[in-house]
Amino acid sequence: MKKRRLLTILGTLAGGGSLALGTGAFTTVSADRTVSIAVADDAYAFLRLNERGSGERSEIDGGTLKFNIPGDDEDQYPSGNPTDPDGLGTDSVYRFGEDAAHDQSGLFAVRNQGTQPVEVYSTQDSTAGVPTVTMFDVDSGDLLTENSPSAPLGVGAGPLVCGLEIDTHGVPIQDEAYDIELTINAVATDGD
Amino acid sequence: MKRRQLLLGVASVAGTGGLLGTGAFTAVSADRTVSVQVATDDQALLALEPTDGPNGEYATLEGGQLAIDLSSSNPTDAGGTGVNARAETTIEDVFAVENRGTQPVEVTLDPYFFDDGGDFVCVYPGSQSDAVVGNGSTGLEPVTLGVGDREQYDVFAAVALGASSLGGTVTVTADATN
Repeated sequence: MKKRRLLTILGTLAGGGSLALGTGAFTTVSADRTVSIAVADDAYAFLRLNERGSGERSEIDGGTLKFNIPGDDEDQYPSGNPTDPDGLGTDSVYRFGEDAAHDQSGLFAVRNQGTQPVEVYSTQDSTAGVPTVTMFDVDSGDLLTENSPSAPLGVGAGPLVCGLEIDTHGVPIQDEAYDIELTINAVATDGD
Repeated sequence: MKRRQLLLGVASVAGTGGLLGTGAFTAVSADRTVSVQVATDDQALLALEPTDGPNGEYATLEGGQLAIDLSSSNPTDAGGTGVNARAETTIEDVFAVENRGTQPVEVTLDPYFFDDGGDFVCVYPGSQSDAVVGNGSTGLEPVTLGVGDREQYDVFAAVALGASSLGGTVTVTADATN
């Protein structure tokens, strides 16, 4: 009954005034709604990236994960008899599955704090004249690439414990460290 | 006698001007009831609601109003409280707009883009994702929704380093196409 009454009133308005108000139709709706997006540190973001172990080959710096090879504290390890290396050899493939202290497995870890299972892999935009860096799954030893990503990492599961493989073939020796941007990708496995 | 004369006078005035009919008035004030039901966004004629999919978690209906909230006030079940810095994040199918009126409408979001010194966030219809995250950069078109039609919207955030938060108020407009 109430509904019918409302329709009648609207009908009267429509007849007398404009045709804007038909039965239950709307001509224009305009609604203000809020979008708020926070930028979180890697530890709290939807894709959690965390350092593992001591030695600062991996470290959270200013909220984001970064890598230094050799580590900033490499000169402290092995404890009591540090080796203090200058860098990687040329024309070589190195794998770093742990930080310099070897006190925890993995160099870094990936955890899914989003809402969908994701496949994880790394890419590198430019490898010209710089070492090639690829992440790998420390448990399986598998390189994680776009064509061969991790198994689906469930929401809240994990973490996926990772290391870095670094290929220095054709890369010249130099005093200055190479500055490389590695992209860690996490892509939902279903299209939904 | 006097009275009859007056009536005649009135009659002639009415005949000339025509403005004052019998029972004319200068002002009337009458109260009538208009019953308008205001519904929550998900029940409204233009329905705005989180999707049923997993990424509906990033939208809320707090106080009956749709909000897109990627922050610590709406953490994911897994504990995520924001997008990563130095990262591009694409979240598909966060919320939906559905036309539950009786005419086709064109839906636009304004603004659909928030920029803060190069860090930005974009809210866009999933059917036009190529215009935002694809190779084309054609700009967004209004979404035409027939009666009962529904469009799901995506969110894209690109954060270089600077911003700690992004966003603002989006005006959702639906205009009847005829």
